[in-house]
Parts: sequence; C-alpha cells; structure tokens
Amino acid sequence: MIGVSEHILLGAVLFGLGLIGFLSRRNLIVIFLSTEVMFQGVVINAVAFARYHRHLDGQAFALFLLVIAAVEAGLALGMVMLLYRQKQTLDAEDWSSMRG
Amino acid sequence: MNMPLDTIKYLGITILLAPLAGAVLAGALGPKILRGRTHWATILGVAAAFVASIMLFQTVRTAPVTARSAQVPIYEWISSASGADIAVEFLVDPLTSIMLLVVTGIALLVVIYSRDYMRHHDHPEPGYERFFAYLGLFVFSMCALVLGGNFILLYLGWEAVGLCSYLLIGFYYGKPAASAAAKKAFLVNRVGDFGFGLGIFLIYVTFGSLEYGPVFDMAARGITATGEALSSERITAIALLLFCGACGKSAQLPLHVWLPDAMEGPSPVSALIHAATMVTAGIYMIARCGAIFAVSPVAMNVVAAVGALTALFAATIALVQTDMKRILAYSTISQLGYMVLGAGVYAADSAVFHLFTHAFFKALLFLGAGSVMHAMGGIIDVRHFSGLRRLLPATFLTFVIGSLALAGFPMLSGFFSKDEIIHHALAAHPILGGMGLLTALLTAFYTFRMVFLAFFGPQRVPEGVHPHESGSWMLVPLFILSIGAIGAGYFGTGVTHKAFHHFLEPVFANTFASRNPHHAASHAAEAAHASFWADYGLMLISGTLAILGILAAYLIYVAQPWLAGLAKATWPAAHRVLWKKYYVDEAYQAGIVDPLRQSGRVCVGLDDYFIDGLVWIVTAVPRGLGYALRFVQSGLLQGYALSMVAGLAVILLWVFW
Amino acid sequence: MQSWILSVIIVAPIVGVLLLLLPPYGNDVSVRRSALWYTLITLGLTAFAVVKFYDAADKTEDNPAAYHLTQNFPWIVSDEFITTPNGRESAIDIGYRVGVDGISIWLLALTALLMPLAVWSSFTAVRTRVREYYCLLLLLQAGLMGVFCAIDVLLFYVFFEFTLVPLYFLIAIWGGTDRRRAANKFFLYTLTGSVLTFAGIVYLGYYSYTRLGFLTFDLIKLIDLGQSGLIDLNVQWWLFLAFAAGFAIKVPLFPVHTWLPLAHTEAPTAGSVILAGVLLKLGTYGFCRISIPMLPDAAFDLAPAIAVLAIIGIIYAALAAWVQSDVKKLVAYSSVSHLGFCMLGLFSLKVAGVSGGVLYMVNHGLSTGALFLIVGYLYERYHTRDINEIGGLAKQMPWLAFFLVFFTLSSIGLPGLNGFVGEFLVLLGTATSPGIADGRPPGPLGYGYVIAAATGIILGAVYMLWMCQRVLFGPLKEPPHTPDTSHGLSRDLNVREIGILVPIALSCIVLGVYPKPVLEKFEVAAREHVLPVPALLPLETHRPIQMPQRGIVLKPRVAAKRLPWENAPSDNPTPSGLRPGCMAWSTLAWPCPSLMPPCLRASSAEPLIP
Repeated sequence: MIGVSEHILLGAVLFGLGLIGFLSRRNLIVIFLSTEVMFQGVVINAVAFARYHRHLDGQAFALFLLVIAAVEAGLALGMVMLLYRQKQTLDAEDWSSMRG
Repeated sequence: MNMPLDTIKYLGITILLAPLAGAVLAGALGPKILRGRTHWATILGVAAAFVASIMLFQTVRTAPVTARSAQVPIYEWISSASGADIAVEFLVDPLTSIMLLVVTGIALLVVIYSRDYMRHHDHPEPGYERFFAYLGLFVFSMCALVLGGNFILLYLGWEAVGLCSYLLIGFYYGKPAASAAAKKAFLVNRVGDFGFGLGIFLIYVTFGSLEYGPVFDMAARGITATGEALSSERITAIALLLFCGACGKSAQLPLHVWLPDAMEGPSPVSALIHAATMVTAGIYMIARCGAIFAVSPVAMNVVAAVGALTALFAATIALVQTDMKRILAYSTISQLGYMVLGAGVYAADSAVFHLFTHAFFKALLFLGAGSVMHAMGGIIDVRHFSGLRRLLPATFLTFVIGSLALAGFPMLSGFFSKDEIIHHALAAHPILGGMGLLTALLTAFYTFRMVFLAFFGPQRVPEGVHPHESGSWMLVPLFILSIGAIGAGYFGTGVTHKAFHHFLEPVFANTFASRNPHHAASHAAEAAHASFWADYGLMLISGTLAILGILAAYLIYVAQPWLAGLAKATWPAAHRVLWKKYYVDEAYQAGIVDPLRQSGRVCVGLDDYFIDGLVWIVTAVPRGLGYALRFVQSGLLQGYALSMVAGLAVILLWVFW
Repeated sequence: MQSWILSVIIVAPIVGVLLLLLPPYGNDVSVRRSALWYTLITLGLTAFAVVKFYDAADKTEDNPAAYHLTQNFPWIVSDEFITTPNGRESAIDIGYRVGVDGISIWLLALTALLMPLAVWSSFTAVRTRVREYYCLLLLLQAGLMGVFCAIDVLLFYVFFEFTLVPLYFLIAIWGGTDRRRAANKFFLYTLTGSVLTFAGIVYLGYYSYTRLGFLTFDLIKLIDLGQSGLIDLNVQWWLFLAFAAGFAIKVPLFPVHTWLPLAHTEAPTAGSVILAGVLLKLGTYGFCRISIPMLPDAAFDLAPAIAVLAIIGIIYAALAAWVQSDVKKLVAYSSVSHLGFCMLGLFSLKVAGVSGGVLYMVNHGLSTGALFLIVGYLYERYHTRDINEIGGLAKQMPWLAFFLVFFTLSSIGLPGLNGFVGEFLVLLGTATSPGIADGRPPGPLGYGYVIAAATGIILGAVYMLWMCQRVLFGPLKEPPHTPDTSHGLSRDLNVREIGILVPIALSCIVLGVYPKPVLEKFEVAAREHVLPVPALLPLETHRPIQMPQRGIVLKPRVAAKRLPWENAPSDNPTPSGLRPGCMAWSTLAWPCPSLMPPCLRASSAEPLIP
C-alpha cells in the first residue's frame, strides 16, 4: 500500500522543483510556471492528507487551491504583460530599480 | 480729618489719563485730520493735568499736617491668592504733589514751545503728530511713576519713561546717530533696571509685599515679613540694588553714558526728559524710599560718594566740549550728582529742592539752546557761530538768566539750592563737600564759557543761515521759566520761612530726618547762630566761587582769547582725555559690548558644530547601519524570494530542532 | 460638567478638511475663503467654550479641582473587572477623556486665535498646491486642540504625535530653500524624544497596574497615584527623564534646541507662527500637566538642573540671537530664550511661578507669532531676510515699523504690555520659591536663580532693539527690484495685513493692563492641578488615604514616602539618586517575574487592591 509519506514526498519534490525553478530561471513566464508547479505540489499534499484522514476536506481544499492558482495566473500574467510593455523584455534581472 | 480720597482719586486719574488721551488723539487723528493743529491735543491734555496737579497740591496743602499722605486704590491688576497682589493704586503726599507740579508744569511749557520748534518756516516737520503723541505718552508715564503707590507701578512708570525716551531720542530715525543713541539710552537704562528689578524682588522676598506703606513701615521698624529682625546686609543690598536703578535713570557714574548721546533728540525733548523730569526719577525714588535708604549707612555713603564723584567727573568733561547741548547734558549729569549727593547725606529735602530749581533753569537753558539751534539751522556747535547776543536778544537774555542760576550766582534759585546741599555735605563728609565746592566753581566756569563762546565775540553764523529771533510760542515759555529760575529759590529760604522744606517735612520725618547721624553737627551750628561766619560763611564762599568762575571764563574767552589756546597747547593729553570723555564709551565698547558679541558668535558656533555635531553622531548610527545593510536590497525579484526561503528554512529548523 | 463642545472643537477642523476637499481643483480663491471661514467657526466655538468654562467654573466654586466641559468615552477596555474601593473598574482603563481647566482653555483660545490669522496671512504667500496647504493647517489645528483638551495620557500622546505630521509636510513642501533638511531634522529630532516619552507612558501604564490593580491612563487617577507617594522615587526619576526627553526637545530646553532655528527659518510664515505660537507650548504644557503633578518628588529633585539649563538657554539664545543676520533666525532664537523663562517659572513649583509660566506661554505665542507674521510680510516684499540687505524701512513702511516696535516691546517685557506680567510672575515665583506663602511646600529654586535670569532681561532688549534699529531706522537700504508689489501687495502693510496684527496687539494690551480674569483661572488650575497639595501621609501603613476631591481610596502596603522638606532621615530612608541598573533590570525582566532583581523583591510589587 502506498502510504501517505510517498504522496507527501511527491508533493515535496514538486514543490522543491518549482522552488528551484523560481529561484534560478530568468524568464518571467518560466518563473511564473515554476510558481504553478509549486502550487501543484501543495495540491498533491492536500489530496494526500485527504486520503490519509479518509476525509474529503483536503480534496475540497485542493479545488480551492486550483481556483486560487488560476486567479493568480491571471494576475501574474497581467503583470508580466505590463512589465513587457515597459521594457520589451521578459528578463527578471532587468527589473532592479528598487535597489536599496 | 483725612484728605478726601475720592477727590484725590479722580484728580489722580485725570492727571494720568488726560495726557494719555491727548497722546492717543494726537497719534490717531493727527496724521490725517489734525495735522498742523495736533499740538492742541497734547497741550489740552497736559494743561488739564497741570490744573489737576494744582488742585491736588491745594488739597494736600489744606489738609492737616499729620494727615497729608493717602493711599488710594484704583483697581486690582495682578490678583492672586498666592500673595502676589498687585493693585493699581496711588500714593499722594507732599512729595508726590510737588513732583506732579514740576512734571506737568514744565511739560506744559515744553509742549507750547514745541509748537513752534517743530516747524520749519511755519510748516510742521514730518512726524509732527508723532512728536506730540510721544510727548503726551511721556507725561502719562512720568505721572504714573510719581503717583504710583507700589513698587510695581514705580517700575512701570520707570520703564515707560525709558520707552518714551527711546522713542523721542530716536525721533529723527533717519539719522543713524539718533537711532543708535536711542538704543543706547534704552539699553543702559535696562542695565540699571536689572538692578532695580532685583531690588524689587528682594523687597518682596524680604517684606512679602510691594506696597509702599507696609514695606516702609516694616523697614523702619527693622523687621521682615515673618517678624524676624532685618539684617543690615539685606537692607543694604536692597538699597544698593534700588540705587543701581537710580544710577541708570539719573545718569550717575558709571551708567551716565546715555545722556550726552541723548542730545540727538529734539531740544524740547532734552529739556523735558533729560533735564527736568525723567532723569530726576532716580532722585524721586531715593526720596520716596527713604525708609529703606536711611536705615543703611553703608548705602547712604555709597550714594553720597557716587553723587559727588559724578558731579565732579561730569563737570570736568563739560570744560572742553563744544556742542552746547552736550555741555548742558554734562551739566545735567553734574547737577543730578548734586541731588544724589544731597540724598546721600540725609538731606533729601534739599535734594528735592535742588530738583525743583534745577528743573526751571535747566529746562530754560535747553529751550534756549533749542532757540539758538532753530536760528542756526540745526547747528549747535559753538565752533560754527558766535556773537549771537545782538541777533537773538530775547534768547540771550533768558539764556544768561538760566546760566546765572546754574552757575549759582548769588540770590538766584540755583544758588540757594546748591548751597544747601554743599552745606549738608560738608557737615557729613568734608571731602565730598569739598568736591561739591570744586564742582560749583567748575560749573560756573564752563557755563559761562558756553555763554561767552556762543553769544559774545565777533558775529558769525554758519553758511546760508539767516538767523531770526524765535516766535512768541517759543519765547513765552522761556520768559516764564526765567521767572522761575530767578524766583523759585525763594521757596526754600527764610523769606518764605522755608516753605518748601516744611511742606516736605512729613514725608521725610520718619526717614531721612530722624536717622540723620550728622543731624547733631548740622543743626548745632544752625541753632547756635554762633557767628556770621557759621550762618552765611558757606553762602559767601559759594557765591564768591560762582563769580570767580564767571570772571575766569570772561577772562579766558572774551578778554584774552589766546589763553584758551595756550591751555589746550600746554596740556594736550589732559585735553584729549576730557574731550574723549575719559574714554568711558570706548571702554564699554571694548570691555563689554564686543566680548558679548563675540560670545554670541561662540554660542552660534557651539550650536552649529558641537551640539549639532553630537546630533550628527547620534544619527550616524542608523545611517551607518543603513549603509551597511544596503546590499541586502538587490532589487531583484529572485533575491527576495531566496531570502524568504532562507528565512523559512531557519524558522523551520528552529521550531523542529 | 459634561459637554460636547470640546469634541466638536477637535472635530470641526477635520470636518473643514473634508469640506475643503469638495471644491473642484484649481479654485484657489474659494479654497482660501473656505479655510478662513472654517478656522473662524472654530474660533467662535472656542470663544463659546471659554464662556461656558467660566460659567461652569463659577458654578462649581466649591470644587475647584474639577475639570470642566468633560467627556469620557471608554476606548480600550477589557472584560475583566476589578473591585476597588471606588467601585468596579475595568482591568484596562484607557479612555477618550477630554476636559479643560484654566490652563487648557486659554491655550485652546490661543490656538483658535492664531489659526485664522495664520490662514489669512497665507493668502498671498502660498500660491501652489493651495488646497493641500489649508487642509494640512486644519489638520494641525485639530491635533493641537486635541492635545490641550486631553486628560488621558495616551490620548494626549496620540494628539502630541499627530501634530508632527502636518507640520512636517508644511515645512517640507512650502518652506524655504533648505526645507527638506529642516523638515527631516525637525521631525526626527522631536520624534526621537517622543518615542522615549512613549516608552515612559507605557511603563507608567504598567506601573499603575502594579500599584492600583488595573491599568489606567486617566490623568486624574495617575496624578493621585503620584501625589499620594505611591510611585517609588526611582521610578519617578526614570519616568520624569523619559517624559522630559520628549517634552524638553519640544520646549526647547537648552542643549536640545538646535532643531528650532532651522525649522523656524525654513517653515512658511503660517507654519512658523503656529510652530512658535503653539507647538512649542506642547512641551511646557506636557511638563505642567503631566510631569510636575504626577512625579512631584522627581520634579523637586530635578528642578534645579532644569532651571540651570533654562537659565543657560535664556542667556545663550539671547547672545546667539544678537549675532544673527537672518531676522527669522533671530526671532527663533528669541523663542528659545523666552521659553527658558517659562520653564524657570514652572519649575519654581510655586503657584505664582506656575501661573506666570503659563501666562508666559500665552504671551509668547501672541508676541512671537506676531513677530513671525511681520517677518513674513517683509519677506514677501523683499524676498530676503538678511539684515545686511535691508534697512531704514520705517520711512517707507510706517505701519510695519509701528507693529514691529510694538511687538518688540511686548517681547522684551515692557510694563503695560503682556510680557511684563508673565516675566514678573515668573521671577516672583522663583524668588519666593523657598517660602510657603501660597500654601504649597517650599520649592527648589531661589533668589540666586533670579539674579541669573534677570540678566536675560537686559540681553532680550539688546538683540531686539538691535534688530529694530538695523531693519527700521537709519538710511533706506533695499535690494534691487524690490519691494515686490505684485499679487496685491502694497509698499506698506495693506488692510488685510494690519487686520491680522490688530487682534494680537489688542490682546497684548488687554493682557498687560487687565490680566486678572485670565490669571485667576491660571492660579486655580496651578493650585489644583499642577501643584496639588499632597495628601497628608500617615507614617503607619495600612491606613487608607482619602483623596477628598476625587474620592479615590487607596490602601498602601508600603511605608509612606517622606516629603522632601521634612527632615527625618532616621526612619524610612528615601533612596536618593538613581538605581538605574535596578530599574533597567526590572524593566527587561518584566515578562519573567522569577527573574526580578533582588532590590525590588523587598518592596512590595503586589497590587494594592486585593
């Protein structure tokens, strides 16, 4: 029987991959995709715990998370569009004007 | 039966408010409405005050001798249940009434005189209305000083006359010298007021009250507010602090420096303020506070010494000055020194008597100098004109009368009053009396030096000036004052049975007269009527000295003019020292004014560098921290994300470890 | 006596701000006029409040310690209740409490009077971003009104800090050439002190919890706490120093005054008028409302030090003013000098001195406000404030000369004008400080302080008259292409500008000639609120202390404190001086009672109410 730890491990791996991608990629859209991957890692975690507790709350929460991910997608892509309009580039390193 | 308090109250209020109303009217309506007729506002106001003063004098005179003093409250000014109750109240007694008569009378004559003086070819000078407003304000202030029944009103009047002096000396404010002189007068007076104020506070601390009645009562009985014995150091300190104020106001050494410079003001101002009234406020104060002064022999000695020194000092300076008004200014300082000397030898009634006569002849002299100045187109330096006696005969006549009175010519007013003071001084402190005699000789000399230089000799006038005698508005006051200069002295002599002194007796009975340690000496001689010499010896000596001084001046300046040049050539250093007024002004500038300004710069430097430097150091800490930590803010999105992750990792480690 | 009027007065300027935001952008004239109307309405309301106050004070003559026109709304309270001898008290008692006494009402009146004048004077001076400017002025007024009305310490502090924000913007946007630096310096300098004060206030709340059993910031209860000797001397010292950190910077007291010249010089005219006229009084008001009544022993011990600093300030600032070439900076330094007198009077701890100090606050607001207005008029015409560039203006501008000389005389304490009465009472209070004539214990100062302070009288006249002479008298000297008579300015003062100065001049004369009605109320307030007679302390413990006017009953478990002037060093030795290490330790160890320092374990830290 696959226990909960394997599912959580899968969720953690997804989250970790997404995090590494977020921190190391330069393309704004790829950064955003990594964020989505992190989200999915959390979704898997929620579903895993739902299965463990034999309760459907986790799956309901996973649906919420999917909606949130979608909303966040809208927001992030909207911002990326505005940023692209300013500088015609999708490079994250070009935006450092808030340097201290 | 006491004096009718209501009458006194209303008379006092009239005396105070009439000139003030005149001043306000002159100031408010003058520039636009009254213009050239503004003088009527002040003349009517001061005349009303004068009439009220005469009525007040009559009220006091007709009251029985034992009940001639009245304290009349008007309203409560600073009330407090904490004990600092200050009311506006009057004290009316013979001294007050005499001072009021002098002040309002001379003021009336001066205001009438000013109507013509402040005109140029019958057009009012610019600022004409302002002048009369200030004059009215001054009369109000001086009357407040004299009428006040407590020390705060005295201080109020004191400062207010200082203010009016400032405004009037600086009347021609376009002239830098005038505004500088005004500022100097105010500040030197302030230095005196510093001591005066400290004295008043010490009075409050010691006696718990500031009203004349309780304070003098306690001082005379030698107790303080709590009933303990009054230490002699305390009362001496109070007396000396009050005297400090008198030095400032009455231009005694070392605070005399403002009076000669004050001659920048118009001549009527010099006559009224700096001769007859304001400068005598110090003498009035000493006379009024007799209870405090008379109990302290140390203070009285200091007072007498300062008075005599000032008299001699100023007389020597006047010997070489060439500006007529400055000669008269130094002469005023010298005569004030006499008055202070008189007060210092327990002869306060003689001091007030000399104040009385001096008011007449000094005002006369200043107004006469003003007449000369008016004729000479504003020039008053005797090096630029001479031989005016044919050109300005009426002025000449009155001026000579005033000069004779000042010099102490026998039988004129100055003779009697000065003589009394010297008489008492000789009995008390022979050295000081000797200084007084020497000063009398010098006074006669320099006064007539001025007369001979200005009115005798070849006729010459400055360029472009057409001298003419003054109009009647100016001459009538001169004549009235000459009558006073001649006759005022008789109020203090045997002809009127010393009416003046007897009138003032109740004021000084408990204070100067009864505590006079030299009482025995002076009265013994008088009572004995031992010889002609004891009675009239001093009169003979001082009369002779006066005539000698006049003759010497005649010799040097009229008969043999080359002698003057010889004196100057023989002692150039002495002449220079006297010409430069003993370098007192320069000493003050270098010793006090400049160091203070320098310390001001030091203070600003301290502010900007030291204190702000400390502030800068305090702010440098967060600033430095900020600079050090700036590198954390890279501006990059991923850098922030990394630090978030790192922080999360740290927290997780800490929680689960 | 309860009344809504004070809250209305505090809120009215805020309503004015909201209404000012209504007109369409760009309509400067209507904005100006509306702002003037709002401030005049507030002035009218304040005048009504003054009348009501006098009426209420007359009606309650048997209870002079009462605050009038009060209002009390619970603000931050807790569900937990504690039974005290006075009834049930909430465990946390922070409320919106407003009320006035003689001191507050006249400071309110001063603020209400100066505001319309400041607004009116800015009509020609401010031409950019007009609406924001007047909104900020009105907000400032709301904050100032709140400070003077508050009788809850936390509320006081909120309004105290609130006034900084509008003034920061006023200086930073509409100020002179160095305005950014001046605004930053002013804000950070005063804020630094204020946060230290806040630390003190927070500790005070905690301390009141340990002593009374419930946390309160009610001024009346805290003053009773302090006056009944239940605040340890150490705690009193620390609290006094903490409060003094904020208040002394605001006053400004001598070493921490350096923000003032820059802030005043760079502020716009109305900003300077309000800054000098009212804001500086927040510091002295804080001292006389909070520090002195609540911490009497510390006040007594520290008064000589503060008096010395005040005297140094008087002389130092006067000398510094004398060498200034900028007229505005000269007047700014004169403020430092004058407030030194005020502090001297307050710390004489005598009724005459305190009422003199409070009167001095009002006088200084009037005369220095007027002086800044006049300097503003000069600047509008000549675009320079340098004494070396302008001179001899009396001939061209007689009205300006008249008012400048008039307010100079008021400033230097000429008798007959208001400055003299304040100065005289201050020096009188200082001189009679060792005495007991007013029914209060002997104070810490004495005649020696008077001698030093009286030199300030001479120096005050020196620099003011020097300034008058340079600016007004002598030959005419004007910079080229001046005076600038555009924008409705005439050569001499026009009717609007004279109309602004006339009310101040009239107030000066009235206060100088007949100050009695105002002084009476100051005296009552000084007697009851600033220097209340401490309750007689029984030497035995366990006896309840009755505070008759307020009806609070406290049961001390500690031995009663000795009053400073009673010489009985044998029993109950009062700890003299600080034990800072102990205090710091106990503050830091507050969360963990087991870590309390040994010095505190002996004395009781239990609440008094079981």
